[in-house]
Parts: sequence; structure tokens; C-alpha cells
Amino acid sequence: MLSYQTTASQRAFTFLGLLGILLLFASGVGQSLAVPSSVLTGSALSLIALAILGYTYASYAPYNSGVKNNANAIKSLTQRGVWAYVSALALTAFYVVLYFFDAYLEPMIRGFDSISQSLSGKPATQWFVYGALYTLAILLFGVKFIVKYRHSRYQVIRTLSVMFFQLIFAFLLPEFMARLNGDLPYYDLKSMWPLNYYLFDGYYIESFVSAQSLGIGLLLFGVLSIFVISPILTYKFGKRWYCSWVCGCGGLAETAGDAFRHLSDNSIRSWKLERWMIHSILVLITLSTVGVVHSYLLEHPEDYWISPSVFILTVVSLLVAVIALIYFKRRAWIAKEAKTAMIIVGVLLAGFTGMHFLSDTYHVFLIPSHSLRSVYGFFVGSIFSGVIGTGFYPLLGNRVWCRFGCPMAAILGLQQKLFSKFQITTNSGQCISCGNCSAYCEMGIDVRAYAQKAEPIKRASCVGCGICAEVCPRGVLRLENTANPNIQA
Amino acid sequence: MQEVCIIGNGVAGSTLALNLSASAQFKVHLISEEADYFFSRTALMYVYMGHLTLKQTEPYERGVWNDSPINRIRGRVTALNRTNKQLKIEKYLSGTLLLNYDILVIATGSKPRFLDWPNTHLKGVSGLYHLTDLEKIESYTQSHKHCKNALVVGGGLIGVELAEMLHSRKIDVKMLIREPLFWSSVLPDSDALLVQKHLESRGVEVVANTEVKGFLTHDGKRVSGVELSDNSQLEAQFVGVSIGVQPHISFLEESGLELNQGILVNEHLQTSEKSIFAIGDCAELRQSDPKRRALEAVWYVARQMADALSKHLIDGPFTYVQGHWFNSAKFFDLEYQTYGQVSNLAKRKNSEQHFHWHNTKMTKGLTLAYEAHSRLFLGVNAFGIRLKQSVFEHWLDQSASIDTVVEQLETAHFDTEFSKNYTKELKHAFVSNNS
Ligand SMILES: Cc1cc2nc3c(=O)[nH]c(=O)nc-3n(C[C@H](O)[C@H](O)[C@H](O)COP(=O)(O)OP(=O)(O)OC[C@H]3O[C@@H](n4cnc5c(N)ncnc54)[C@H](O)[C@@H]3O)c2cc1C
Ligand code: SF4
Ligand code: SF4
Repeated sequence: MLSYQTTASQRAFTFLGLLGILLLFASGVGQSLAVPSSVLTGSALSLIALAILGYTYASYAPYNSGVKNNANAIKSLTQRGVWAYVSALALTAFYVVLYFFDAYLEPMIRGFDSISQSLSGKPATQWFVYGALYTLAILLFGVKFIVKYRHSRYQVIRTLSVMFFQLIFAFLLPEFMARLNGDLPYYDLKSMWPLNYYLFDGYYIESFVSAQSLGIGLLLFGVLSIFVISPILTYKFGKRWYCSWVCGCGGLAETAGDAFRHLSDNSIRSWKLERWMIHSILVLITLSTVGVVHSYLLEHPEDYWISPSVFILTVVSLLVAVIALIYFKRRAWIAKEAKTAMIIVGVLLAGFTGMHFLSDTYHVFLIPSHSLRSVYGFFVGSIFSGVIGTGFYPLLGNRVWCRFGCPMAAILGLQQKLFSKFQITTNSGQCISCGNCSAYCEMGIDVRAYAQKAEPIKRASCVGCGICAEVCPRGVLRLENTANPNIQA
Repeated sequence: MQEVCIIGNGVAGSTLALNLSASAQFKVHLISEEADYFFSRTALMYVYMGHLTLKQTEPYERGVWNDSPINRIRGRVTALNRTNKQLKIEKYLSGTLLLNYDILVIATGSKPRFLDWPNTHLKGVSGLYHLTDLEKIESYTQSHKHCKNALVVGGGLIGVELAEMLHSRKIDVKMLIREPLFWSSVLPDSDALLVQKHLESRGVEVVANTEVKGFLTHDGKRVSGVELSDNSQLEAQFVGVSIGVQPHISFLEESGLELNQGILVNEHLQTSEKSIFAIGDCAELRQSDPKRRALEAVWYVARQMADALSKHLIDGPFTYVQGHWFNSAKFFDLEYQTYGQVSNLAKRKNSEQHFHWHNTKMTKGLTLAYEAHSRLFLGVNAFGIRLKQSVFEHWLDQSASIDTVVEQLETAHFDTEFSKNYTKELKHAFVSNNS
């Protein structure tokens, strides 16, 4: 096979970028050289920005717009070659240090103090640094993505949206809110349960409550998002309104992860694994959230009008109501998915019952409630979403977390499957089975399997990125909000 | 249980094999020389350009084949004995096999057409059809260091794919065509011009009104260029030949089956022999729809024939109906779709009128064909615009008028969301054209 040659300017900008990264981590060393660390950090970030924008220019500007995936299946970095392993290792190492050995990052963190001071009035923390780098990545690679897909208005608008939500909602607003009201915990308005699974944690609720009306307002908004706003939007537009237009994890995957989307495994086997994982995580997160609220209520019997048992009963009735609704409205689906549905409901009901009898103030199922939280936080919040989810982009594709681990995607996916007007329509018999759509679907959906049978694609995991429709050389696929939500199995 | 032998695991043979294997009536043998697993020939260009691996072009997961009862044989069928109902197969790497059948289906596809040129055997000359062609092209054109100039002889759909492939490796490409405009053997001039402009905007030079006389060489091994009919010469390290394809049926010459260009079949896709059928690129209809051709070497037709024959074999008599013509392609970044009939200049009758519109940048264009007096809508060519097939089939079924089609054009809209709406501009042009 041919060895793909990058151009000299692409190589030069890559080198520049690596230099910038090196400088960033070395910025602590600068202090001993009496160079202000903020100057070093500033230059490092500028170098990185220059590198990404320059690389974009070198790669796409000489060509007219159109789908440009040349050599993706050949290049070492994008086809699991040496460079892919090197970058996966480096990214993973960064996450491990960030989560568990942040002391090593101390000098680098200090380099961000002046930026942090100007936003929130507080010195930088490791999470501020992470947030800043994350946002920068989405913005810069967002520009790259927009240039690459500049012929498609859907892609351009969607990417601008992702960049906007990351910069304003995830990064700037929480910092400003912290300046306005020091008691307020970090709150990303666009992030909702179960993504911010800590929303209902005792300490979190308390700090909201102590932040008075703004805090209570935010808490109410959080609850409203889950039960009202999100289902309505998903009904109208599919889960894409969140996963590929708003979400930060999705934002990074779409922009920085764009070069790796074809690595997502689209075998039937991985689809099976995906369903197992996503359903288990859904059950786990529901149980542990209910458990935490339950023990919080046990702890504060006087403060709230709702008693722990009434709370559990309410949750159970909600569950029953949802199941009944699905049974009456989507019988065909239930018939097909009966086993899965029964297992999920069974485990949940058993869980709630167990909770009622086996929990006290500090224990859920006889397990200390905070250890349950921290175990989830560790395995799902840190290891999965960070280390594997982002660190393994060059090996497993850019949406591993979204596909196998994200509880939010699981809930939205269920909604998408059961009641949404969103689907990907196939243009009758036009498919030539070339495989571009399946290869470039970051969620590992075998789009071609549907397209070559002239069937519409209505899959729970589809995040509506629209790339399948973009890479299809025959214009076979179209994302639409006009499907009849009733006819589907 | 009937023994069904299918020769060729392209889209025709593979689709049929999967359909039949679902029925307990048949034991299916699928014989093919090219590859162990069915891959998509239409995606060969994406393999070369590095968009896809060959495995990613396989329309079904390998497990589908491995778990199916289909007996797959890698080998070349070299002879057919009709009296004994027996095939002779040269197996890949392992000797000869004789196989008996109750029903035989020939789905051997096409091969690239070459003229009687001198020196076609030279290294650096290739058509593009089989995997072996792709391997050859790959070895001749590793990068622009090995190969600075390339020529593509002929300007059909495969030719333009060849040009895009070479262009992706920064090789300078010229297309040599016999016609005055690109693909004007099929497209009306307005459309041919649009495509040609697009090709030129991508840096491909289209050399029109040119015929190739033969290939040149310095060392007797590698090609060094071509000689044209006006005796001028063009230099090249690679010459791609794409002047069309022809049915891949030479092994049948002594079989006694009735052949023309392809294997002649009736409306049940049955050959002159009762137990033998032919589908896909190699099948030629004895009686074709007046609006269609007897030999149509396209993916869709191969798949539709396979589906029709499955029904015929499983449930009894089923007639293959050609229906409305449709096709699609992509010229570099310009997508093309066609539904119904739009004739080129040479074939166009006086009664066939065309309304052509394109935007000023010539990145979108549409040609609508209709009958002058009755205003009956005949067909559409679309460039840079995606149109819904079902809507156009409905209009063709209903014998809709051109006015209805233009008026309701939005309902056939299939462009991605937020795309600029061109219909207002188009309708405006249509009205001023008609008044
Ligand atoms: C580069 C390229 C791009 C194309 N793009 C398009 C497109 O965009 N749209 C479209 O509609 N069509 C396109 N086509 C045409 C389309 O691919 C063919 O019409 C289609 O593949 C025909 O399918 P088939 O099953 O009849 O034959 P094939 O796909 O040719 O399969 C026949 C198989 O039989 C094998 N075989 C032949 N003889 C023997 C023998 N004696 N013994 C054993 N095995 C044998 C061959 O090796 C081959 O594997 C394209 C073709 C090419 C080459
Ligand atoms: S099916 Fe298409 S739109 Fe959905 S996730 Fe896959 S590539 Fe994106
Ligand atoms: S990209 Fe388009 S033509 Fe290719 S397999 Fe997918 S739907 Fe079919």
C-alpha cells in the first residue's frame, strides 16, 4: 500500500503545534527563568492556535469545497498506526495526571491564574485549566471543521452552535455566575441530569438552596430540563438538538474528533455491546440518583414536605405511568424489545423496593451512599468519559463515550426511538452500497444496511451529525423532522 | 432441494444468493474468481483515494456470509456443459472442480472495453473494473513522484472517477474524449457544458474531439504516452482507458447459449436454455422497454434483476419490468441524478423540449425534458441538487405536465437542511422562458 505523504506545510504546522503543547507544560519552568508564567502560557496557546489554523489552511484552502477524506484510511494517525497509539497514550496520560496527580500540573495551572482572575476573580484550578483547553480545542478544531465542510450549511450552523454553547454556557457563564454569587456551585446550564448526576446530591442541593433565589431557580430549571424541555425538543428534532448541537462532549467529538469518526466499529457485535452497556448505565444512574435523594430525605425528615417513602412511591408510579404509556402507544416496539424492557423495569422495581427496606440515612442497600456516588463518579465520570472517551479517539473513534457510556444519550435515544419526528430518509433505490455512510458514522451505525434496502434509519443512537448524508456520493440520505412518530417497530 | 449455481459474486449474484438461501428449496453455490467476499465495485475509487478500506466497502458483514448456508467457491468457471448440466471450475490455488446444477444463474458482470490498439499490454495502461485493475493502477501511480502526467481515454462515468482518483494524488490529468463536449453522448449540451466547466474548475483538462491511435513506449515495457489520430503525441506515465464496458462472457462462446453482445434473456431473465438464467451487467434483454436499453450496465439494474429473479425462482412466474430509468453519479464534487428520459443532442427528437436552468456559479443546474405540444413531463437531469426519486416516479406514473412539475418542485426537495432554496429563481426563469 502506498505511504501517504503529508505536505511540507502540514508537517510544519504539526511541529509548531507540538512545540506549543510542550511549551504549555513547561510553562512552570519559566518561573525560574523569571519570565512571567502568563506570558509563557499565552505564547504557548497562541502557538497552538496558529498551528491548528495554519494546518486547516494548508489542508483545505488549496482545494475547492467538497468532501475531503483523502488518505483517511491510510494515514498512520487515522488508521491506527504508530502515531495513533502515540497520541492515544499522550492524551490518556494527560487525563490520568489531571484526575489523579494534579500536583504535577501545578506550575502549568498557575500560568492560567490571570485568565481565571479576570473571569471569576479566583485563581485557576486544574478544572479551570481543563475547561479552558477543552473550550479552545472546540473553537479551533471547530474552525477546521467549518472550513472542511464549508459547502454544507447544516454543518456550518451546527458547528457554530456547538462552539457557542461551549464558550458561553459551559465556560464563561459559570465563571461569571461564580463572581456574581460566590455560594453558587459550578453549574453548566445546558448540562442536565443524568449528565450532571450530582445535581441531586445533598451537598449540591444545599449549596443551591443556600444560594437562595438564583440557586433555587437553577435547580428548578434543572428539573424542568429533564422532564419537559428535553422531551419536547427530542420529539421535534431528535436527540441531535442536544448531542450534536449543544453538548460539550459531543462538541469535542465533532470538532477535534472529526478525523477519527471512521474508526467507530459498526459491526453487529458492537451494536449488541452498546445496547447492553447503555441500558445498564441507565439503570445504575437512575437507581443511584433515587438512592441519594432518598437518603438525603431520610437525613432531613423535617426540612421537606415529601417523606422518603412517598418519594419512592412517586418514582415508582412515574415509572409505571411511562411503561403504561409505552405499552398503549408503542406496542410493536414493546413486542420486539420485550425482554430488554422487562429486565430494565424488573431491576428498577427491585431496586426501589430494596432501597425502601435496606436503606437508612447513610446507606443505600446497606452500602454507604457516598461511596456509591464516588464509585460511579470514578468509573463513569472520570475513567470512561475522559480517559477512554477522549483519550482513545485515535483508536476507538470519537464517540465511544457517547455511544457506550453516556446516560443522557441513553435517555434521549429512548425518546428518539419511541416518540420523535426525526429520522434519516433514504432516497428510494439510489444507494450503491459504497459504504461511506457506515464508515463515517461516528456512532457505528451501519447506515448502509438500511439504505441499500431503501429503509429509513431510525436508530436510538443516531446523534444527527449529518455526516452520513454529507459523505454519501449519491445524495441518498436526508435528515428530516417530518417522520410519523407512530409508525415504527 | 434444487442445486443452484450462481457464477459471479457481484451485486447481482450476491443479492440473489442471499435471497435464495433464505428459502429451504435451494442449495446455493456461489462461484466467483475475484474476491472471497462481495465488495462494492462502485466504491473502488474510495479505496484508492483512502476514504475507505476494501473491507469497509463490503455491503454485508462477513459474518452474514460465514453463517449462511451458501457454499462459496473461489474460482473461475472455464466451461459450461449444458447436456450434463455441469460447470468446470479452476479453483483459486487448488485445482479443478466439476459441479452439477439444476439451475444455473450467470452473473459475471462486465470487463473494460479496449479497441484494437497496438501496445495495450504495456505497463501503465489499465482500465478500471476489477480488483486486479485497482492493484495495477495503484502500482503504476503511487504518487506524483512516480507519475507526473496521466491521461484518461474516454469520458464516461468511470473515466471521471479515474480522473478524480489520479487528481487526489496530485497527478496532472487530461481527459481525451471523442465528443465535442464531456459525455455529450448522453447529456444534452447544456448539461455537458456544466459538467465540463466543473471538471476544469477542479484542474482537469478535457481535450475534446480527440481519438487515440495507439500507445507509445520508450523501453518496450512501460507506456510513455499516446499517439492521437492527428499524429500528435501526448506524454504520460499512466493511461487509464474507460471507453465503456462489455459483458464478461467469453467463457460461454462454445456453450451454445444464444449470445448477442450479452447473454440474451427473456422477461423472466431466462436464457435460450430453460434451466439457465442471466442477470446483471452480462444479461441482454431480447425485448426491452422502448424508453430503455437492452443492455444496461448499472448497479441498480443488476440489483433489481436479482430481486426479480429471486421472486421468479421462489414463488413462480415473475416478470422483470424495467420501469422508469434512473441513475446517479458524482463528477468530482458535482452530484448528478437523473429520472426518466432526457435525450442528448443527437438523439433528441423535435418534439422533445428542454428547459434548462443553472445558477450563475454553475454549481447547481437542472434540465427538465417535456413534449412540446402535450407538455407531458419526460424526465430530469439534476446537478448539485438532490431530488426525491419517489416524487419523480409518481409524476412519471401520473403523466404529469411540465407545469405541475415546476410548480410542485419543492415537494421533491432532497437537499440537506438549511441549503439555499433555488426553486424561486428556477420558477422565475421558467415563467419568463414560457412567455
Ligand atoms: C469503478 C466503477 C464505478 C461504478 N459506479 C457505478 C455507479 O456509480 N452507479 C451504477 O449504477 N453503476 C456503477 N458501476 C457499474 C456497476 O458496478 C455494475 O453495473 C455492477 O457492479 C454489475 O454487477 P454484476 O453483479 O452484474 O457484475 P460484477 O459486479 O461485475 O460481478 C461479476 C463477478 O463475476 C466474476 N466473474 C466473471 N466471470 C467469471 C467466471 N467465468 N468465473 C467466475 N467468476 C467470474 C467477476 O470477477 C466478478 O467478481 C460502476 C462500475 C465501476 C467499475
Ligand atoms: S446515522 Fe448519520 S447522522 Fe446519525 S450519527 Fe451516524 S453519521 Fe451521524
Ligand atoms: S454512502 Fe450513500 S450510496 Fe454509499 S452506502 Fe451509504 S447511502 Fe449508499
